[in-house]
Amino acid sequence: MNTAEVKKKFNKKSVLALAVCAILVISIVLADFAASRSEFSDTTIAMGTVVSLRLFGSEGEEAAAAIEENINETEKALLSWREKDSDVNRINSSAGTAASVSTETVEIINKALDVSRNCEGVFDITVGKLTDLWDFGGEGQRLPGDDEIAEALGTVSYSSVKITDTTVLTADNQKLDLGAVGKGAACDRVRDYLSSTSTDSAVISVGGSLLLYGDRSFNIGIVNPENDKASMGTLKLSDTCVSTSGSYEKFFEKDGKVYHHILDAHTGHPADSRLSSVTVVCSSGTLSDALSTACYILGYNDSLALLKNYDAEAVFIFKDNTVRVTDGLENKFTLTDESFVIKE
Amino acid sequence: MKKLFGKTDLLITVAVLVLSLLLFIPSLSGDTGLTAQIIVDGEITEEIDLDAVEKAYSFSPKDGTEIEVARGRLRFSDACCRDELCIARGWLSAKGQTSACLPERIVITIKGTDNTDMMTY
Repeated sequence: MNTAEVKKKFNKKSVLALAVCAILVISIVLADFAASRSEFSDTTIAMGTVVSLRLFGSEGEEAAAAIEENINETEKALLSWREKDSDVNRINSSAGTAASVSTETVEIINKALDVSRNCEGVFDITVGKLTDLWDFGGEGQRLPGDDEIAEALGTVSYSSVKITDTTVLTADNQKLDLGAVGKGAACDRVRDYLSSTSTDSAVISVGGSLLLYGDRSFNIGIVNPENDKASMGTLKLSDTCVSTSGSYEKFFEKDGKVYHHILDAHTGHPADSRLSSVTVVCSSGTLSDALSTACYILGYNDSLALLKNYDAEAVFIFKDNTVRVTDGLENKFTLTDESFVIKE
Repeated sequence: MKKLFGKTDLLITVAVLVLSLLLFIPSLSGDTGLTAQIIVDGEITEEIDLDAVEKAYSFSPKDGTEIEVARGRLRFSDACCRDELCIARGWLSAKGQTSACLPERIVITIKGTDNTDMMTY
């Protein structure tokens, strides 16, 4: 084949097409390489739960270590009722007299109390005596007697908690339990930390409560209440917090009846709504945690006004596998499991 | 009239098709692309390519705890804690699935290539 024939076979159009293909392939490979270089993923245990994180930006490894420390500090210094020196333990051990605590703890308690006021107290952080009785997931897990529940209910009253600057006063015998908002509060503290780093975007799970940081969109799977290893749908979200409350998390069976851990503070018993789970999307992690619990107890209809109050959105999964999605999430939610049906 | 589709164009099209097919071969092989991580006290102690497991085996990342690994999946098979929730969780076989023995600070998790970034539960 002479030079003229070669030129004819590989004309300008072909060379151009090949060059475009080559540039495209190289660009894809380089973009993928750059993305993998700037991402740091980790899974660990902090705050007594599994913490998973994916950080995008430089110095991800250093940020991840600091985040783990930050989450452990949330438990040890602020919210744990088990830790001797935590703010919550100090409030509980001095019930009846004012305890001096950090501004962060005051902020978290104030947010939780605000949700209690707006849901007429079905969600209440003064349920400590009640949760002690049931002890879901603990060594003393049992079905308490009605008289015991009535006695514990006597100590439940969010309106008894008085806050002045950085002091918190609870009623005699009252016990705070911030377990329902602890993971979300940890997400809020991590966001404050991340804003001081060179992290561009991140998705962090503190025991299933999520912080989505930065402009990057993430696909968030909502766990299937019937199979907690699979998702039933996904939400495409950025820069927000996500929390889920479900009856599948902690429960026990007694005489053929299932008792789950989400207690209605009015009755002292597990909430009897038609829901399997509620996933709430809200700008604050503390609020998304509190709202997911409150909405689970309230049920779908009574939750809508509460969510609106906080500019929050939600996905409700009912026990019959029907799903309701609030307006703000309609275009962001995709059902991936055909055994569920979206109800308009 | 000039031909719209010449021999050289055909050659390039075939080349692109063959290349595309080659890229799909891994997914046709039945491989899941899943990697399991074993994390003990916050450190990744093992990374296991679940597609490369030819024969099931077990190992102990800590005394009293046992992890069983098979092709495409793994699970906690023994634990020394009271509730044994990690064993009850059963086999993990999809991306993002995690099981933890909290008292022993051991996490097993599966990394992979589907498009879910994180799960809320």
